[in-house]
Amino acid sequence: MNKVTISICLLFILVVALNYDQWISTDEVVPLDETEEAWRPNYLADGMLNTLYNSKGELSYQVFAKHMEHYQLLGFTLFEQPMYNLFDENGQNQWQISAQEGTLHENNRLQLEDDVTVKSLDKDGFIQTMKTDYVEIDLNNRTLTSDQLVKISGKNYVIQGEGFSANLEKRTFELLNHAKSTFSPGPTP
Amino acid sequence: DKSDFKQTIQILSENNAADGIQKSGYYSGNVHITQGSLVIDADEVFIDAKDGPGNEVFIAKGKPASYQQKANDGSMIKAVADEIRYTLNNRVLTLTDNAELHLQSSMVKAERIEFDMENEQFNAKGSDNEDGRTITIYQPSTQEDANGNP
Repeated sequence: MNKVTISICLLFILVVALNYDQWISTDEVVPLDETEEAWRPNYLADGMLNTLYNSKGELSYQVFAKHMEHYQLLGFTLFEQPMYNLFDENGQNQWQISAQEGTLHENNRLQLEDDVTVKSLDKDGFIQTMKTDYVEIDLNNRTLTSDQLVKISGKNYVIQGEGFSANLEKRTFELLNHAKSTFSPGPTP
Repeated sequence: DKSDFKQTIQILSENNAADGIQKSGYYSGNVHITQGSLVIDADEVFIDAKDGPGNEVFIAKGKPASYQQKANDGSMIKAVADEIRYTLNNRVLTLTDNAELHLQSSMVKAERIEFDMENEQFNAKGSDNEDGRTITIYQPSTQEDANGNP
């Protein structure tokens, strides 16, 4: 134990003492999406039109919105008064969906809230409009689900229930709990 | 009675589904249809709306499905059958399979009965196998007044 080893030991102890508190205090790792920075929209737009094409380059849908905020880290986009136009494979605008608020998630899952209206643009389609206050839409396969009250109407009927699922492509819907339907008998001779 | 056919048709049931391409609706679970005094109760009802509004056909199925309506003279018309088909545009009721119609003082049993609800006329057809007879029983016409007491 000559002087050299002693001084090395002393040095070692000194270094440990100085950094000891830092090594110990593991500051808890802040997850990316809770950092204050994630809560600031990456970009926002007013009076915005967004047009989406599918993999075959065909016009898939368009969305107009009064205001839009995109949050990259959180993986969703907020819309104010969005209006979606859905096109079929030969470019026909088939459905128009509007609401007060919308949230689009990464997997093309769209949640619409407050005064949601799904309108068919095919005048003599059996299903003309669907009204509810909340609906979740899978924009890829055009299916809708909701657990809220819904009112579905055609030219001469109105169907009311709570909770429904619909497929805009196949133009089918199913109510979870049907309440009441009314048919007006149409033009009586 | 006649005024029923101008009123809206209301349907209550547990479940409902519809197909926009086939233009058809489907109701199941305690289905209860009313139009004025007309009442149809069934387990399931299929609506064929291919020919557009006003030409729908309501097909009610049950064990049995039942129909009742106030006649023009105030008495009650009643019918039961495994299938009751109501075609909206000509207001005809077609009862098939164990059909039974109670009209004023007569009761008809047959395989198939077509009943014109507006003019309250019917024709009945026996099934062509087994006896296939239609049975019509006319009770002595005890003049019942409007609320059914002799």
